[in-house]
Amino acid sequence: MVRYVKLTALVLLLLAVVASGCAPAATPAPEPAPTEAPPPPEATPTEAAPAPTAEPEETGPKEGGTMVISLGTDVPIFDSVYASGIPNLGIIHLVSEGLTRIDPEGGDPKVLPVLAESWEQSGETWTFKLREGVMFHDGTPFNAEAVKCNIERMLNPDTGALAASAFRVIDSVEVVDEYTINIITNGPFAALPAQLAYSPMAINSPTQVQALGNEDYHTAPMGTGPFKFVHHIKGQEVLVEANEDYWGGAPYLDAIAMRPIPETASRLLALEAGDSHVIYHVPPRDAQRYMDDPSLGIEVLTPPQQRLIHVGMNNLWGPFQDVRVRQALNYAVDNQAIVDNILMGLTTASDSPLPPTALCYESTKDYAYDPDKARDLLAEAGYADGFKATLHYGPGRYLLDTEIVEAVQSYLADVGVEVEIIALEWAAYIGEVRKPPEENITQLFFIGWGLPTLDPELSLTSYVEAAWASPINALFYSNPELEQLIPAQTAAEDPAERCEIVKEIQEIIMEDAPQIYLHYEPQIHAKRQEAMDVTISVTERVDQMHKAWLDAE
Amino acid sequence: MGRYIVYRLVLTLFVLLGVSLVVFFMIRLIPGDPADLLADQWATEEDIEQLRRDMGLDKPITVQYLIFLDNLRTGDLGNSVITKVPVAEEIRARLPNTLKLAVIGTFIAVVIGSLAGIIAAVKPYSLFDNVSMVFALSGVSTPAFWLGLMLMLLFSVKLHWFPCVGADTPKHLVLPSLTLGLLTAGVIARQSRSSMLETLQEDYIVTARSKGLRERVVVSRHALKNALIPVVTIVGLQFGRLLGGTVLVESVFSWPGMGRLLVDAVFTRDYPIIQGAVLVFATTFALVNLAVDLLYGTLDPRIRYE
Repeated sequence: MVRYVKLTALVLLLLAVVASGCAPAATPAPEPAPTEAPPPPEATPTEAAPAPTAEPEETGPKEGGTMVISLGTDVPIFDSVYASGIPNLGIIHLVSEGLTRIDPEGGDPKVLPVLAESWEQSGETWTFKLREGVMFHDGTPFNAEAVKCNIERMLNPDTGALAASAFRVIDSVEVVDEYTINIITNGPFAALPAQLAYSPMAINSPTQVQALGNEDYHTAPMGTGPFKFVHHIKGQEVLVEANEDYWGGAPYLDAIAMRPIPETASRLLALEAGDSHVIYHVPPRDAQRYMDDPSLGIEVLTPPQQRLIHVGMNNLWGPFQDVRVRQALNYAVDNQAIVDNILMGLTTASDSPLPPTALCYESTKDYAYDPDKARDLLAEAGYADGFKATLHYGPGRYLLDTEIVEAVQSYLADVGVEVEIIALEWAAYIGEVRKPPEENITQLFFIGWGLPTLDPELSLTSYVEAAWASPINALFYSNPELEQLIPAQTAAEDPAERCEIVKEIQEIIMEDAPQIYLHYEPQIHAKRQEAMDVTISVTERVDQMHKAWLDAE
Repeated sequence: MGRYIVYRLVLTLFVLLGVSLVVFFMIRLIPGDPADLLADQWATEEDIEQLRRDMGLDKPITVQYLIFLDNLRTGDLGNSVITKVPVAEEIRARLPNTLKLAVIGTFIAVVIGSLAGIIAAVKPYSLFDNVSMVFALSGVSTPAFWLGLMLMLLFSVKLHWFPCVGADTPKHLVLPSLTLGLLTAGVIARQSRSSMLETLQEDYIVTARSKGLRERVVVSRHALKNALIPVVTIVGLQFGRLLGGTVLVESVFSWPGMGRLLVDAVFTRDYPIIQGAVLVFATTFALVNLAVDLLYGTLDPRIRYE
């Protein structure tokens, strides 16, 4: 027995070492929910262009083929009113479009027309002119009546729509003529066109909704989109086929299949094997590997970002009631170093509660790393000896969250603040964060706030006292000036005037520092080079897929 | 024999009831509920409370359990809180996939494992014996995840022999079931080897040899059946590990089976699916163990059930 054991063991060990060297460096934890993307790295030649690029030797887009996209989660239910997860909603939008959409590059203008062509505000009334000559997949004509039905369905309490609260500002909808609609809001609401681009708001065929009812609509959805619903085999595949009569021009592709692959390593392997053409959420190290080796035939996509990653502070708890303490913590954490070293420079450090891609964003206050100043401020506030605090987070949700949280812990330890990290499974973590002030035990919490409309409204709405009742906001922060200014920017009809107010709001918030500002989450995705003209927008959705095509041999 | 089977089935029913009770209360006591997760970033507390009411989660937990039992009586396992599809339908779609994996995986494990173990026992301390036992040991210690990913890397990405993920064609079945099989083959190999070695020491084997029978006949006709008895037990016990393994293997290969259904349901706190899936796993496990016990009886005439 002894004679051969050593030999076989040695051979096995060598095999294992060789094998693990060849494996992709993937994150070990399965990702239960999608994370968002980083800003584009400077001058990488491997980025996918949003519009067809002129390639002299090609004859242009080829027709045909089924493109396979792999997300980390399955579409829970093919009805935007009940589905959660922005990338998933993007798949639904291949079939059912919205009235507007957000610019994939995060440029100006932020809000682009889809089913609505133009819009105009007059006090509490927004008038939308709708696109003419559009049909739903079941032949029902698209018109103002259809839009009214869909908005009412979203707001109807009996529907039980998950995102209803984002649209409750809408008081009523009036049909003016076949292609004109008036949406009346509770008080003037400047952000409405942007809010209507928020993914849960998709326009479905009223005939079909009527026929199948809320419960069963998802089995055979009918929209106006470039693709028609074929089937949704749970956990396996969503299949949509080309809509030849699409108002934006027939798609080049025959079909698109979305096959969810929750395991990051498996998703990367599927891309490399050619089983999937486009995948979401690639870890930075693997992205680097793809960029370094063009022979792999994989291009990295890095759409602009909008999710503010920060450490929230319970502004009602102990030391965090003092603004000097909150500022001190901001000076203590070197967010630039985190961006450079942990996130490989794929994003920017945060200097405003708004992302750089947002409307009215101003580079406001950069809490440049200054541990001495941090210690001085803490001493001034009476915490010369530091204090202890807990930091809750739910690992696996945001890119490299564990590494970032540990970095924050060590920066704070440097200035005398002893942080105990409490990692909870995401659902349990959200359960704790969502508790009202009396029951909430979180002190520091690591979280990301998305801004899918790129409009300040959905970000700033969290900085008022009324927002304390809104669960994901355990900051419990308020400022009497903001109580006036934030409703003012909501109502401001003149865009220039609105941005003036938002500028002031950003200054006040950054000065008050209710959060430790870190960065905006990088979006890193990848596609095979034969998948052409594929765009993933700043809001994590696949966009303009009727322009995508497969360069198949 | 018949009475024994009935007795065991009744016992199983009680076990399942107990399991459902424990799971029901356990998942509701973990922090975070489906309403917390489904609500979007701007949902208000009222919205979430309304969601809870729609899901029936606002009632006291004991009332919820009684409603669950009452529905169970009529065979209604409830609806998924995420997809609104009946739990029974979700399970019906996924169960065959897991069974395919489990059956083929067990088959691979038993064939490879027992063959290796028997040959190793017949030629003890040879090169084959040493090599196969080291492999067996590594099979037991290898994480399912790693093995699955390695097989995927080699056979799918590098060699392009098999597809990576999904379950459409029979080709898709190969890598996942191979992973499952290899994991459990190790234990079966070791058990077969030691059990066969022990059997070959028995007096009746000496008798068979002294009768002048060829070694192959001695092994296959006289020793095999008796040697396999403990192996059958092991397979039964390993089945639990196999079911657990399906959860991991299904995650790696994106295999649309019960394992993934259960894992996804836990992360989304989809209570009805969790309850339904656990019940199915528990039932399967109980029935397999019953089958193993009965098989025992046919293999070994010394064991009889009343």
